[in-house]
Amino acid sequence: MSSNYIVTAHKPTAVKQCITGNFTSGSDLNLLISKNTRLELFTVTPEGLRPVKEINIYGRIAVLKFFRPEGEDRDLLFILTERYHGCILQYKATDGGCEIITKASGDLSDTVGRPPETGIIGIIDPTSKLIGLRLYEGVFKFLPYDPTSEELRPFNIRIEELSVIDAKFLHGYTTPTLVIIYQNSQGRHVKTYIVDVRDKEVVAGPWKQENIDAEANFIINVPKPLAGSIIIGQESITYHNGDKYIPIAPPQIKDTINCYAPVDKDGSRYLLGDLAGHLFILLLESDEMMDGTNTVRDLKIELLGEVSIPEAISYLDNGVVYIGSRLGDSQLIRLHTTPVEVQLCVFVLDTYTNLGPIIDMCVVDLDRQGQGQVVTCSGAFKEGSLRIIRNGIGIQEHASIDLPGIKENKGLWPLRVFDTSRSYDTLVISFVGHSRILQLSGEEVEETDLPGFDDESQTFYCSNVCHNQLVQITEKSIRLISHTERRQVHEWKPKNDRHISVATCNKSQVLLAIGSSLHYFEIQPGEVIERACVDLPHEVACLTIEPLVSDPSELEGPDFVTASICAVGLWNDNTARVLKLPTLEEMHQQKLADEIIPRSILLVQFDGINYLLVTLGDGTLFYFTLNPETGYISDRKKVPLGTQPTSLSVFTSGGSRTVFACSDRPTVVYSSNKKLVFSNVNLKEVSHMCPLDSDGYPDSLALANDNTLLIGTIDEIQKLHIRTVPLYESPRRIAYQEESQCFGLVTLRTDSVDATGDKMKITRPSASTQASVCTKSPPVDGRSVEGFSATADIGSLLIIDQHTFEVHHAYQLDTNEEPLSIMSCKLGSDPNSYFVVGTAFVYMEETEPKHGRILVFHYIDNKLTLVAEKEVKGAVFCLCQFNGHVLAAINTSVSIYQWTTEKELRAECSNQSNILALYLKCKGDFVLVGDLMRSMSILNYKHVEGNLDEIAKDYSPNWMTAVEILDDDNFLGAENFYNVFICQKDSGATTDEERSKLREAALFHVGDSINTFRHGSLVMQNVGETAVSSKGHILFGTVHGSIGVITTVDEDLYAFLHSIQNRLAKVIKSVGNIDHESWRSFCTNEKTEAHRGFVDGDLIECFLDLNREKMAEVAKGLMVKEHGTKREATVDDLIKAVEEMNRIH
Amino acid sequence: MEEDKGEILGNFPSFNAMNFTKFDPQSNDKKKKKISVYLSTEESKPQQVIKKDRSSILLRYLYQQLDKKKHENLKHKINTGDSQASADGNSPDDEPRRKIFKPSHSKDDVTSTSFSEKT
Repeated sequence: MSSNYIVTAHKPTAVKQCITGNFTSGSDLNLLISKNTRLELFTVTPEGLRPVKEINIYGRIAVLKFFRPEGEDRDLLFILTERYHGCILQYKATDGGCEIITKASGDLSDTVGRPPETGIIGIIDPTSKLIGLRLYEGVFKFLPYDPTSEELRPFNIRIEELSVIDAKFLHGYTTPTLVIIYQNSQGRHVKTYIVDVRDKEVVAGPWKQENIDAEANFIINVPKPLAGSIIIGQESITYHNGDKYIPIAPPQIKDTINCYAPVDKDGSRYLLGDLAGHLFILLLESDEMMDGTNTVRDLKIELLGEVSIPEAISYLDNGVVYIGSRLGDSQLIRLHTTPVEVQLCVFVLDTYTNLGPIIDMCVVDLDRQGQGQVVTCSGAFKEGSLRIIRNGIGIQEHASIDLPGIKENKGLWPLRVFDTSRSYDTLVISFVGHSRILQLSGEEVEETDLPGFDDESQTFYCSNVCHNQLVQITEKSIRLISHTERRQVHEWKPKNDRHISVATCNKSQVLLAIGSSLHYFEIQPGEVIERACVDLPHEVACLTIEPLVSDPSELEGPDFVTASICAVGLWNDNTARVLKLPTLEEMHQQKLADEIIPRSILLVQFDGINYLLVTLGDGTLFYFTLNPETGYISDRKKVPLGTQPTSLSVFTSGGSRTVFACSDRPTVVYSSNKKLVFSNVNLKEVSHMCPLDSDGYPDSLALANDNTLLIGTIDEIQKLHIRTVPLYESPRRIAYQEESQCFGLVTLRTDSVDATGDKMKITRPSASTQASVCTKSPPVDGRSVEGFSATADIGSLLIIDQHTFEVHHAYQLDTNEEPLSIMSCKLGSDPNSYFVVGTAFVYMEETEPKHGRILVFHYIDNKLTLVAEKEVKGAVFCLCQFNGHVLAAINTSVSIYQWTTEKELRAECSNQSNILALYLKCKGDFVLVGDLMRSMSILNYKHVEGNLDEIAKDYSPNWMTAVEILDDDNFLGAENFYNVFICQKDSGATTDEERSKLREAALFHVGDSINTFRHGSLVMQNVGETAVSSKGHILFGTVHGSIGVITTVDEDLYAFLHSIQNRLAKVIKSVGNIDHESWRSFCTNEKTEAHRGFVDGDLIECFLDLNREKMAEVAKGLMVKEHGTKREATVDDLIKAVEEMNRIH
Repeated sequence: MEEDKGEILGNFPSFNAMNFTKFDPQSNDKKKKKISVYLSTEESKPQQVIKKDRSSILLRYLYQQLDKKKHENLKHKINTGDSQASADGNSPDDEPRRKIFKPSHSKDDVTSTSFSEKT
């Protein structure tokens, strides 16, 4: 039995299709984008694209079409999944929301048939009465759409052409007429068919054309009045309507055109996109004939500019176009009627981040804070990039005011001065030797004066206090300013002109220190009265007098709460001390650290639990639970937050207390389910912050960030923040090396080859051509390539700085040599860290690479040296560090290479039991091998014999895409049909045969192709805070750019979550009427098996979005185990459990 | 060339002339709202069911051939337009359940005949 939880942490971002239509209403223009299993619906508005809904489909979307049957006032949506479930959807607006009605649904698959090699085709005829589908080779399925009948009856028709490249329904015919591009041994041809729906047959259509462009890949059906079709090929574009045949071979077109979008309703203009990211416009020039009909005279094409490599294009409105990309970021662009320099006619309005395809990734803790960051190899060709993904809370910036010097500020406080209503209207910023006052009126901010306020001193603290007064504490005095009289009414000065060193106050109490003497005051109308004074053994470094309340409103109003204890942190002995008020009698003390002094201290209550938080000068935060009666602090926990002194401020967010830790790594501390959660903020450095709830900026925060004062609101939930480092070439594999603080990255770029000879030309500046240092491998394989190719792929190793992401060094591999793998490792007893790169020499005439190299590089002091190289007989698909040796997967073999004292690689032993060993992971003496088509196997290295023996294998015919070791007995694999599975080794089995079999313990359909598994987590791993009873977080990256998490949970939790899942699958209705059970079932073209061993986190976490009533429906009758006894679960139990799972990503 | 571009790029169609007029990339960046996920808990059965096509293409073809043959025979023999043969329509759902009687064609005959040749 295996019990796991799988969930999407970052949704897919690669755009597969986009379409426009009038879906939400007849007068709305909608853009619908499909990203694998998800649809995003937008409405086009004057402000841009307004998001409407994200719709999840239980299936990979293969066909997505809007159509409008007669009599409908808006479009319907036809969807077909890759498992051939079809549905027709309609949008219905409801009170405050919407409903997606499944008008029709059903299974369109056949029991026999071969899935088409050229892809699924789905088309709808111009009258919206017939849906045409090519789901199996040699067969077309037609689904007549009759809105009135209860049943829709599809039928199959055999056509003799097996390899159909594309098909469309033609405009301008009374009976549905199909045009297809097909391929046979002679080449590609175009043919038309007339569909006879009544007799369920097809007959030859009005025209055909043989031997068209050899790479003709799609057809555009031109609407009336022009009608006819445009055939897009590799070198030519042809208009054909039976009578007329107009081909053009424009020289601008060098790469394959793969998508198009009609611009005009009359079908005269089309946007075309190619695989190099060029955007063209195609114009059909027409003549009006005597009889009023239009005929096409000529075709014209113009290059408009460069965009992200498009996968789909949609013309939206007024010259604005959406470019959906699978390989790079999608874009919103505006077309200019007059060419603008460089960018030509394309102006990018907006870009939409896409991580896909994630080829490889690594999880690193760059800031050493216990929080992982994922660095992915994303995109391909010119869209290749590294993406750095980290989890955190976002600040939505509403205003930023340039205030040079604010970096040096000593504090920020909000005040109510001009208007005594609830909201703040003034901001005090303190500097060394002076203070500045900013008045906020609406969204405007201006500097002002305040009567009675000393702005020629540094302010230590200021605040609105009781009895309609303000308090300002400077190093010289406490100044009490009356609101009504608008002047200073009282001043308290230390004796003997001593200076106040630190101070704080709350609504009615002031706590300050003069060196090592601590003073406590109470604020009365018109005066501050000193109530106590004590001498402490050392100088006071920081102090707090924050009252402990759970409800922030208790701090306001006439019956506000006062503090009954306070706390200080001291110099020299580095202790935190809790003192009783008003006597300042010490209740408890705790030593924090040996060397580093406390810099900020805070008393705060979260979820009814009292905490004492202390930060040290090195950015470490200690937190304790506090008993306010005894002052006793316990449960000491330590979290590294930043690397610099951190100051703590408390504010209210969403009705609960939240702490903001200002430092070089700003962090928000809050409580969820009685556990403290630390979440990074997406800002670089914050020196001080204060809450600011003003009229112009309600519920905001003011933050001193670099040279600006930033006003913004805080996100309620944490999310992933993505940083992009463009490479402009394809990244292949990445490895991190801590010693050199660098990433090793292998990439591939495409250079053009001069037609006259071997001269290569860089087509585009990219990471490998723009490195600080570029070196080249001496030629090793002097083989000349047969035949001429206009392009050549150049492989490189790049050394990239972990902080700046600059490319320090680019090492170019030999011609025809492709890098396939990289690792960073220490070898044998050698103390150096090396980057080891595996390559293959790739020639067109070889079915698989026959030789490659293992290269060992050392990067130190900005120098990259090739220490050793080893020629091997095959492609080095994967490398692993294995007991100080190099473990390599080379074609069919898995081999161990030893690192000799002469710094050379020497073959030790190998295992040859694979078809192609593609993936390796190792643990101890065990190696997990992922094979091209023979699932996974386990090898054991025997030191004494020097053998690598297969000890167990999975006999299923799975084509692997990634593997990972969960623990000694559990192995995770992802395969070609978008499934994951876990195999178990049965070490306790009695017979050898049983021991040699890996048993499938868990099966699940992810619905996306997983390229990489990595151990690691995106959330901060807190010391002593095990949020969930789960272990072994594994992250995975997919082709569509999603990042997921797999974790093993204990069996009780699994059972509980599993029953929630089963109930949710019933309560949450799927769009398109697809069963959750069948969607997640493990399905390949060999078998379909029910999913087991995994809980679908994506469904589970939908629970949190349900209303209370539905939550109760899910909870009803569920049992929960508590302290060994079972009881009925409440809604809150479920929320708690689901929230905890939610927090792992 | 440039003039051509003017012609080819002019007069972009407009659904609503106001669309994208207030587009501000700066504010758009900050106000980029998260798209909400559609969740339905409403019980709704699809109004229409897409049925499975259980008919075999081969059988349908054979019946069509047979019908045609009957039709032709009738025409040939009786030579009246009013033939009964085509009247017993072949609903696809019925076909598989029908008793399969051996048609007079040989199998080779069937596969070599294609739709395009037929017409």
